[in-house]
Amino acid sequence: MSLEAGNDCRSDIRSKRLYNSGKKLSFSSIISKKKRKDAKRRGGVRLPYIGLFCLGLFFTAVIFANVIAPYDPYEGDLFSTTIPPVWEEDGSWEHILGTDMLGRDVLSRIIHGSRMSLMISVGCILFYGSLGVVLGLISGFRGGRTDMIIMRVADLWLSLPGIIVLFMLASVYGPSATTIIITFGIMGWPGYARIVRGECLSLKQRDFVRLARVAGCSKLRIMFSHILPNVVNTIIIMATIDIGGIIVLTATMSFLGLGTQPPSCDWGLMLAEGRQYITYAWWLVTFPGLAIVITVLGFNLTGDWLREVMDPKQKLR
Amino acid sequence: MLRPVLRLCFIGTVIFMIFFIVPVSTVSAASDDTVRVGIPYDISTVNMLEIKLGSDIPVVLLMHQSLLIPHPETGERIGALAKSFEILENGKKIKVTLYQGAKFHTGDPVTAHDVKFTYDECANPSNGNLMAGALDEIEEIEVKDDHTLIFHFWEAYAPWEELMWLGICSKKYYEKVGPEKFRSNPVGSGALRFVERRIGEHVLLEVVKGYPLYDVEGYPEETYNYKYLKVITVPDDMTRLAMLETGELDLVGRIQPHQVKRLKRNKHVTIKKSDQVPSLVGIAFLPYTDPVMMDRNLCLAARYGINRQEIVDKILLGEGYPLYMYASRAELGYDPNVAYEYDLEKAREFLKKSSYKKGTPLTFTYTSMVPNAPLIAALIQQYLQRVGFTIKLQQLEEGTAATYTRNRDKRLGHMRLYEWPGSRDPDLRLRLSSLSTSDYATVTNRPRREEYDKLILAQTREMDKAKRADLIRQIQDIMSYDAIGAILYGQNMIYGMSDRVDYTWTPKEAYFPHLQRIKILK
Amino acid sequence: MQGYILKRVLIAVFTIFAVLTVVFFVFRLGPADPVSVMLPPNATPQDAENLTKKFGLDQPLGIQYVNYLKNASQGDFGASFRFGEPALRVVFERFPATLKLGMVAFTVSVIIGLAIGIYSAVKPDSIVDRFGRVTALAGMSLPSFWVGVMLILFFGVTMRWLPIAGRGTLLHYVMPAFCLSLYPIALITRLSRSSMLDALKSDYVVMARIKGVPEFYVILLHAFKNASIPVITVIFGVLSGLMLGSTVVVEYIFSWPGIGRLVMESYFARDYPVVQVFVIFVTFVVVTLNLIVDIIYAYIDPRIRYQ
Repeated sequence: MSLEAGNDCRSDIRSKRLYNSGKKLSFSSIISKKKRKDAKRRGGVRLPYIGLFCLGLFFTAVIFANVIAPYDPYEGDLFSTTIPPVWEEDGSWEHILGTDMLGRDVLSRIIHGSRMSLMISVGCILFYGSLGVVLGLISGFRGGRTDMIIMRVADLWLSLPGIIVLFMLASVYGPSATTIIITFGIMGWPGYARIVRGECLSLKQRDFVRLARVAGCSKLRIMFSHILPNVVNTIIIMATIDIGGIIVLTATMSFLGLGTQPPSCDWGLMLAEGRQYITYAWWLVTFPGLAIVITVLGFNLTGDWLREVMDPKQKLR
Repeated sequence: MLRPVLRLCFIGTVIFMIFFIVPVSTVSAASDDTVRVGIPYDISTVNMLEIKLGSDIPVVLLMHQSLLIPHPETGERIGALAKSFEILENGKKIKVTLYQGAKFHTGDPVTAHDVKFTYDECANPSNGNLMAGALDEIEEIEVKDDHTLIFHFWEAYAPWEELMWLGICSKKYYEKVGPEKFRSNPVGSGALRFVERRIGEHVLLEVVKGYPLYDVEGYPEETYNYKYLKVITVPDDMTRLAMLETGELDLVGRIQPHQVKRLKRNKHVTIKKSDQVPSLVGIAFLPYTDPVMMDRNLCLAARYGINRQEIVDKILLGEGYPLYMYASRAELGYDPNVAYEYDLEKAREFLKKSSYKKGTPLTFTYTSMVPNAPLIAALIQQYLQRVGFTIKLQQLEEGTAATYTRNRDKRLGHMRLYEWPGSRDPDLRLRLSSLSTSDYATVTNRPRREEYDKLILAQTREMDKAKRADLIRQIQDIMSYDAIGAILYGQNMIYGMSDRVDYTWTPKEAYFPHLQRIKILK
Repeated sequence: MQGYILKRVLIAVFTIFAVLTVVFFVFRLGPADPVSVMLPPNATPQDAENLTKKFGLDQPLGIQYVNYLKNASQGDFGASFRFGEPALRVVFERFPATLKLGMVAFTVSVIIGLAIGIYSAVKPDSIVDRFGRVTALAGMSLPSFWVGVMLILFFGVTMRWLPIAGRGTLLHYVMPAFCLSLYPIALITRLSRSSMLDALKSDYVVMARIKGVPEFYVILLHAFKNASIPVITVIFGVLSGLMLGSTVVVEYIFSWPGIGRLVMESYFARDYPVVQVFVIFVTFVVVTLNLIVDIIYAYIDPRIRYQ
């Protein structure tokens, strides 16, 4: 896990793409039958069952939090503090995953925490995704001086030491969910901008864009109604994979004391809070950690699958 | 392309093997003559003259001897370098006679000139010493002869003993090597000698042979049976305790109650406790954010609405005591009879009488400096909402909160959870944060302001101990009546050590005192 | 060519300057000031004033900035507020620790990542492939502060196999390096797997097989050679990340005296000089690496020069 999680995911895709674009396929009959079958399966026929199952759990929690959570996640009962989970000696069916130091039900907090996690990660991605996409489109489409300036700024941005910027923004604006969204948003756009610019450069040369231009479409129209839909696939794939990184980063921010505010029940916060009591009540850190793993796993597996299915270059084949 | 990559992989594998497989034999071989103490912060300086943080004091004082030191068993102050004190002219002058024969690590004798030099340098603003302000009470220091000197105070100063802990530095050495060298390699007359400091890792000290170099009356000084003392920085609580369990550390302080359960299961770890340690956690009400916080009824509502015993039982797991007044057990003026029983009905009545409008959100600020702060904040929120308040929690980074406090910034909110590190004498605290003319006073318009201010100023100048205690009691009464905050609890000091050493906390001290008295068993 | 290099160097210098300026001002505009952070609560206003003067914070921001630039251009980056020693020395004393830990973590992640990645590409859907991919993802989705504590409790306390914190023997590297390399391993595994899969399907591999080259050589010589280009890009990204402070949390937990922890503590103590030196250092390294890469590209591909 690194603080540059988001960026690395992106370069992953980028380099794969760079590489894919130069590839041709023939002689395929020489590859053995089994290999061909494997390749076909990988091509996207098989659904990522594990991933979808994880995501299913996650979204059930998000949507039906009020219905399925057995208790109020914020209200504790001081007479039932640190009750262990049900299979432990002192556990009871009243609190399946136990209670925390203030007697709040861990299961309910995890279920409600899914909303917070989704809100933060989607907020971040909407924020820096849209910023990056717009700047990337402008940069790629207009080219010339505008392109140079935007890309130089992006370079400068990437050479800023990430941690310091996180620290600075978080302490200037005070720790909160909004701050996290703004901070990650400000730091994250250059990655998206670069990729969208790259896509845009090649799309610009394609016939449908030229035709649109001949037909007298305005530049804005070409950018947003002709080029953008062709970039959306890439963006969605990147976003799915980024969500996992953001959840982990949020947890790290909480650990550093710059994350969301108690008593909100964000998973990262639960993990950071519970860590202090790890030898006293192990369930306080284990279950939120498990929730994070399941969610990130779900998003990543589904993201990988989406990439293989939706990658236009693979479709062309 | 491939060959270099292959070669890289090969070299990498070799390095990997060398790194991890070969030296299995050396698992932190603990040398028998070194005692390792774990602390959560970096020692920022080893130079007595430039101390800025209170947390550096215990280590620096190991290297330097002071005029007065706390007795390791009773905690009462006794003379160390100073053989006797004589109070002259009703407290305006204090004559100090030094022991003869005390020596610095360089071999030079400790003289009155060194004492004067140390006090002058600590008071020198350009050194930024944390005692510079307090030392302004001293008008000048007069050296009578090599072993006699007189402190001239501007006015009689009752807590003068609070100024006598400064570690005496060698003037001769300082003048010989200059400030740069002195900063990196200080010389004192303490039980341990400085060896090295590595920022972020440790400070290493060596026991001085044949210490003490002079006889101190009433101080049971022993010979030390270890050679090196290593003060190791381990910022994370969990890691520090894990190291105590494996024996990588010998002594760890400030253990939180919920961590004891696991440590007790380890038979190589001994846990000790002290309840005679200054410790005070409370809520400050901040009237400059909103004048409603001055309302006496509102404060009384908060005071009666919080169940302190429950906090102590549930969060401190019994390792503490409810506190209702402005001095903790180990401090001057503590009175166990002052108490407000938890009474929800009474609290609601007081709230009804107050000018608080129902539904107005009050911001409750806390930082991570107070142990278990998020839990305590959440609990206080529950209590106060039961009374009828609306409470919004706000966590601030410690630095931000400290700056807001100093600047009386409104962003600090209506209430703040704070921890007072504690001191033996309440004088400085009273004059800085309570006196209504002080820059840091939170409350400047108490109903009985004039009387209160007069009492505070009077106790500073009252040399008679009994009379002074009486004045302090009167001050406490007014504080209790004014209700400008709620004190919550005091916490016991829990410290753990590996079974190869033994150590006992000195009562009344807040930081690791007398580390030189660690004994290696066996 | 010289004109191109000159232009790039100028841009690099400007970048460092711009980053420093931003950090200098934003840092000081934040809500906390170092004097309040440093002084104990019972310090007098007099003490605060003395310290402010000592740190030179009593002057207007503009003058502080000009003075700082003037001194910095002569190699004087000021004394650390916390330690009273030159900030440059404080940072460089602790850089080797991070460098060593980073190198170890880097080596481990490259070796393990490539091994799993290549193997699972050669045998897709095998046990190693499935298990490796899911484990890699799980490792990626656990915050390192959590993994760190678990490692300490299990390998340090329960099993007593490894020393917990500090530096000294080589065994001290195991837990922090593992903790640090979890994420890079996942990254490298995924990337090398996908590019190897593509490479294995390509014409030249098929051609090599037709020629009867042994499978082992086909995989390593033909396929991996071509798959390594994107992998190496990512590997260098990982390397610079490890060197330049993604190690904060791990260094904090394992009490490792590196610059990641230093910069975090200095940040919270508002130790301006140390943080500024760190920022200059990091920017310098990143910019220099970019510069070198740019110049090499320009040598290889002359078209870039004329853009």
